[in-house]
Amino acid sequence: MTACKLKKLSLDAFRGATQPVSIEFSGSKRLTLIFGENGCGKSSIVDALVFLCNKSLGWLDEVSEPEKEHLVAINRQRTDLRVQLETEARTWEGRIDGSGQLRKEIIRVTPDNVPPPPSVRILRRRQILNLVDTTAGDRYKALRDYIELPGIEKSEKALTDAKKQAEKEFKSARDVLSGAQQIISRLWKEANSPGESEHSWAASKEAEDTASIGKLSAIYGKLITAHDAIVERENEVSLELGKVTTAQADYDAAVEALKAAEQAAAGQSGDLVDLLERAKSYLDGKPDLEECPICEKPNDATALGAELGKRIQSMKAVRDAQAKLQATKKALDGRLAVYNSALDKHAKAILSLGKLLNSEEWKGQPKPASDEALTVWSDEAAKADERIKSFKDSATTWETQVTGLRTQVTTWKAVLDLQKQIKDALAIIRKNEEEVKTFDKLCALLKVAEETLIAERKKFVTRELASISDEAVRLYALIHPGEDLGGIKFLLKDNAKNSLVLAGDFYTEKGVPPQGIFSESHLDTLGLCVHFALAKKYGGEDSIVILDDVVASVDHDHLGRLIDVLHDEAENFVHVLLTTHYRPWKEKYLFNFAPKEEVHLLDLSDWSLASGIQCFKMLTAIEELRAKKDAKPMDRQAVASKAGILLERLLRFLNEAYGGRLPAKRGREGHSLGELAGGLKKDFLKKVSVEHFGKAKPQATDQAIKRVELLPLIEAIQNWVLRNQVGCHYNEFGALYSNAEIAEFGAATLALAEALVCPVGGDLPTKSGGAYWESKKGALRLHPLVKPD
Amino acid sequence: MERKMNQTQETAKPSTPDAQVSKASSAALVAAGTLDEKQAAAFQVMLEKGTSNASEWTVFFRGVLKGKEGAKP
Repeated sequence: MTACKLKKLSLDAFRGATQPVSIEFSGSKRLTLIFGENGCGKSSIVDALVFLCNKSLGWLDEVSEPEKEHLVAINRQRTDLRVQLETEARTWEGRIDGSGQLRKEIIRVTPDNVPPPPSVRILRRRQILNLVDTTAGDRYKALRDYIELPGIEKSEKALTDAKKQAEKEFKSARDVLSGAQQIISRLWKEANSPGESEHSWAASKEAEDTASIGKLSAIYGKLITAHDAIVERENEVSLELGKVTTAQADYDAAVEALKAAEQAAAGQSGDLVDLLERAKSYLDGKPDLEECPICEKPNDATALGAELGKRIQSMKAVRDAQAKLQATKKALDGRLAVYNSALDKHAKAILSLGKLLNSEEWKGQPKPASDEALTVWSDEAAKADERIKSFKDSATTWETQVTGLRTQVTTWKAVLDLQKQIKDALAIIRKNEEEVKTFDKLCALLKVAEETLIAERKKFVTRELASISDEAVRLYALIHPGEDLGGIKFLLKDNAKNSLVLAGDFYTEKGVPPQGIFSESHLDTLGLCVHFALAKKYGGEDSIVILDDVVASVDHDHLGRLIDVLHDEAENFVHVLLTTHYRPWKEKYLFNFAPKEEVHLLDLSDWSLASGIQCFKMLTAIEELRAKKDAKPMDRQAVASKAGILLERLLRFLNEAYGGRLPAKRGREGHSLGELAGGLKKDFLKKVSVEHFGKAKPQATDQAIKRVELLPLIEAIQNWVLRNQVGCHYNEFGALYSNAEIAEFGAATLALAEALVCPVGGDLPTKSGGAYWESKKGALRLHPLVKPD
Repeated sequence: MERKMNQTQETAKPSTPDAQVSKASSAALVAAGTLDEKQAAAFQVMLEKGTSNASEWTVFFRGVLKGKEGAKP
């Protein structure tokens, strides 16, 4: 932030600046007007300031990537691009530092170890439309930078999320609570609704002492489990015994079958088959054998082998019977092993029961068998069959007792289960009653916090908007005095986030959208006033305000008041830069209908690729006439013409100020100099005088430093006719005027102008000062205010 | 002299919009009896830094609840 005066802006290779160009500012003036017709480079100058001061691509920020490259002048390189701003304090330079996509991040402003250049607040005509003539949402976006509260909005969203989560958890806890209450209710009803209420019943059930039945139930449960294990093992033994019996029968049958096969094989033993098979195998392995290996008699091995094969075949039934016998024997042995194992497990199960019945735990409980029997059951040294037999001997008594215990345990278990369900449900109820209360309170707290935050945010934004609205209305009323258009307000739209309503008053109608009622020029000035109000509030003395060609059509009077407002408001900023192609604005200054001494006037000439942007100091009509009159040799035609035009304006001003009697004209036909000169009579002009005070806002006690009677000045301009003959029509009569006569006409016109134009502000006395007309700064007074009767 | 002026400017520097709304919201909750001064100060700090985590707000207000019920938040 550097609130210092601007001296010079230099551009090279930046947009329209195909050649280096410098815009010189006036150190003493905070207001600069750059006039140029379309395409002369006004926006290039504006964008250069935005580029350097805001590190932004200006309006190019909003276009597509290829179009962004137009930031660099058409015939130049990116590395050539340079924007330099010189102020009283220091000079900054902006360049593109980097390759690739052109974006604001690669803008480099140096030096970077000093305060940055002043910020720029720019208003373009498009933004006026975005602000005024658009939807509530887009209007909010246009002002978002000013009224956004990023931290608060983040917190607000998080608070809303927290509230929603708490509400969800509250509902969940309430549902769980309700579920547990329903369980209690159901259990109570299933118990035929005893007691006064389900709550008292549940409480009494919960309080019941079930420790003893719980303990007994556990002990009896063990006994029943041990009993059930014995029964299960006994069943296994029976099952395995059945299988052993079957296997035994199979084996016995196989023994009988072998005997029958051996008898059928003529008493030959089955063992012989094995012997013969081994002999055949031997002979098959020695086909060249010539004698019997046993008797050593000569023999044919092949024939002997064949003979052996026949005998083996005849003995096959014996062999199969032998195989069957082996298989059944193996199966029988397996079954016997499993059976013995089942018997052993059965005996061990009885041993476990015996140990339980003899344990300390069981002491005092009924004994289901005699002491002798229990001794055998719990004796680890006892044989399995002995223990089993002892158990079976007590079986009838034992089963009866176990059945009784089982019934008892089932009854106790129902009691214990009911109590457990009640306890669990009550625990849930107690826990969730607390949770529900906590979440209820938490929801309420979060809701209050959220609502308070939203209310305070809206209050803040409304207050900000009101202050902007108030200032905008003040400025607007200065431009449109006496018009029943006002009361402009920005309002946050109800029940819609990020929407901004614009409303105004229109005669008797209050709070109507101005875009539906106001004329285009009224909307223009309204947008401009809002922009100024924003710039003042949020930028102020540290910023440069730019109005980039925002005025398209404003009538003479409104333009005059707009200029007054701009001049007054310029004091609030580092600088106000105005660009326009609207010629009536420029001419207001050229002919001193606005305080041209307060504004630095610059003119842009036509742009071309070869010359780029060309900027010149603008000369007023008085300055041009003086220059032409003093030039050697003097341009007769130019002096006559320029003096005539200036004189026309001055006389028209006097006629308008005093209601001069001018003939009616139609259309654009203007009055001639003769008509204008005759509009005010000599008797009246005798009473007209001008006072010069030499300083702004003179006090009542201040004396004028110069007093000028107007009649002699007007009478001195005798040769106004030469204006047409020398300055316009080039006829032969013009040639009869000497240079001295033309110079005298110019000098007389300048004398009148210098008498009427305030030397302090550079404007004609167009304001009412009560008894006189006065210039904006009050340094010049034209007497009287109205034409005397 | 210059230092003094700088100090004055620093003191007079307006707080950010976020800070203004944070302060006003905290004060409103104190006035409503929702928060005490100490809790409001913590609330204001959380707002000023833009606390975007919902859990942090839950923890904070659970603490406020405990405070209201006797324990310190």
